[in-house]
Amino acid sequence: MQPFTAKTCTLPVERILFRRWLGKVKYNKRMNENQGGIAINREDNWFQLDTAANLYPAIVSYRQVSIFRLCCTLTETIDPEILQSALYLTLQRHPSFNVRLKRGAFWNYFENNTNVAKVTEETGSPCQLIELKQNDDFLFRVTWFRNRINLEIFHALSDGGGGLEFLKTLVYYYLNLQGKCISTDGMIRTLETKADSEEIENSFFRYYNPAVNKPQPPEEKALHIQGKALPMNHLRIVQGIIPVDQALALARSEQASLTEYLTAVLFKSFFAALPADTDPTAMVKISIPVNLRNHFPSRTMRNFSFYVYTGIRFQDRELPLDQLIQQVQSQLREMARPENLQPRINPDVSYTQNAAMRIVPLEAKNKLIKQVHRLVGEDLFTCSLSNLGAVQLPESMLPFISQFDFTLSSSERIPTNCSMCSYQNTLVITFVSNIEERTVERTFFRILAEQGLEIKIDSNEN
Amino acid sequence: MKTCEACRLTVQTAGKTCVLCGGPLKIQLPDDFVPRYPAMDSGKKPKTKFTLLARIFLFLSIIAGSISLLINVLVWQGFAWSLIVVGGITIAWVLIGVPLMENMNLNLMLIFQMICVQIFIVLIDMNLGFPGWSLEYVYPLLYIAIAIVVAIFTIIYRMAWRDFLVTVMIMALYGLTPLIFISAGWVKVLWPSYAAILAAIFLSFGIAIFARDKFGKEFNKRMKF
Ligand SMILES: [Zn+2]
Repeated sequence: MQPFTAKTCTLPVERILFRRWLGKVKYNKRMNENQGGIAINREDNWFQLDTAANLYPAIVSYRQVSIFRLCCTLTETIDPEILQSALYLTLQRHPSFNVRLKRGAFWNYFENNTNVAKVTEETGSPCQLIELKQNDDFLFRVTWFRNRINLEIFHALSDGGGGLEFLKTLVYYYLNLQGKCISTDGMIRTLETKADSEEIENSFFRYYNPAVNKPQPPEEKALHIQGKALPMNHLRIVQGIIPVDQALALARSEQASLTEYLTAVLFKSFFAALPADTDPTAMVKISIPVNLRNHFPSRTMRNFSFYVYTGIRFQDRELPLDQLIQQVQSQLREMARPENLQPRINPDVSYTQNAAMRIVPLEAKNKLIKQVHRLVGEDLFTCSLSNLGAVQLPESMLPFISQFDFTLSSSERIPTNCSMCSYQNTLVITFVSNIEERTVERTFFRILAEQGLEIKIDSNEN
Repeated sequence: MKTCEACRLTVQTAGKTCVLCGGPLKIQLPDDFVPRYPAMDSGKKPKTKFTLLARIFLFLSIIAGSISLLINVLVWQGFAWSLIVVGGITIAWVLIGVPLMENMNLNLMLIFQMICVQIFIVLIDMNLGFPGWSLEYVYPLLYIAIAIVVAIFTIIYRMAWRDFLVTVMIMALYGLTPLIFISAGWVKVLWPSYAAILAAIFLSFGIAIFARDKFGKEFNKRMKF
């Protein structure tokens, strides 16, 4: 816990009450309000799923929940009533989250959800399937536990980048309604800055450029780890909390970025977790999500990311860490070049624009997507390593927040997944797993501890 | 604070063993542990509407149905009365059970129940030698009653018009079925059928006059390709 500093102050009670009352009034007006000239919050509004999102409704199941989770730990215990009011305001600001999923004849679509999203106390394991009917048709869920606000999002709605914007607004309004003196400094999307159509656009379309075309070499299949499954609805979280400065210094000592360094360590961990008689020419492959907002300017709240794969063959498992880092580095830097990113957007978009594909009825389309996903989707990588990056907040909010963390979900083929994000001097690396074996987690954190990092381990299991 | 000597790191846990390696932890005071996650086993059980009471009734229904079938076959009097019993039990389940299902569109539920009852009534009628009263009176008059309720619900639940408008359309189309019976010559008393067709036409005009824009939007969004 962070001690309170002189910078923090609290408003008088009547101003707090006024703010909360105003919040409710604004919410009640919500239904028929036009925002910034475009009627994105109107009841009869609807939009199509973005290019990447079409996949998720087709493949979702108890074994493949396609959920990610963003958490913000505050310095004080959460007040559910204020969190609820903050959620009202946040949904008003981010109408692309205030939707329900409907099935058309040919495509799924989102339309404005007239239910009210409710916050609940966290129970059970994180990242459980969102049952839409039991969740008032919302595709996300906000829960709280002690000091922490959890936001779990079904991937069809948004990706990590969009989810983080939503969480930042939510935390801002929570602190604001609590009466803390905070300002946005232009870093938080609040109701004072209107939602514009760019925030709900499908940025894949905007950057679709059929002129740039490059045939993609077929991806090689990857090795997969197996283990004894945890009971249904159980998921193990193991988090390593590491000081950012130490981690960065360690990565710099190898002239690598943090992601590159940790990817190499993750390779080592998977080599340790695979049985010794694994085919030596087969590859361990790690999928690294790329936030395309960093490469193609976009303010969208919806999916705008894709994956690049790095692979190292099992026979190279004895290579020292610095050589693994070099291999990862050269692969990643090659793929992150703009001329290599652009041709990767195109095939995704052109499939949704393909005339033959468009007139296939939704049910058949979903079956097709499911088949393709089963054949090529998860076979291509062993694990993800998703780095949300450093969470930036206005200075006035910093004293109230102690930690951000980011968690993916696992599936049958990908039993262990890894994600991370940092805030201030706290780097949180989260492993999520649905198998009992902990070799990957153990090897990963032991390697880092051997390099002299101070690591604190947190887990939902003992 | 607890540390694992083997892994060389700090572990925040209520347990006595390391989360990573399962080895023993060394406790260093002060042990200021606060749980960061809810207990694993406190997860919610999957909700089921199918309670013990419902199961008992289902069991009793099956027993009653099969006994009446058996007696009917054993003591055959040229009349399959047991089918009426079985049908009645099934209809009771449809009328009572379907509303218990969560989040089902009210109008859709009514239409579904109406069709079940209509089929049941026609079957009884056929069982009695098909004097035709089911198609002549019950079928169209039941339709009119449900059409009025559907229209009222659509007006009351204006907020959910996106879901209800489609049901009105289904209802309007369904109201044209008496035309088939008339042209096939199955009905001799015509006025209830005409009344039902008229009700269907009113529903269509209702959509056309009051909700044409909305219906168009709804159609576009569902048919977008
Ligand atoms: Zn240990």
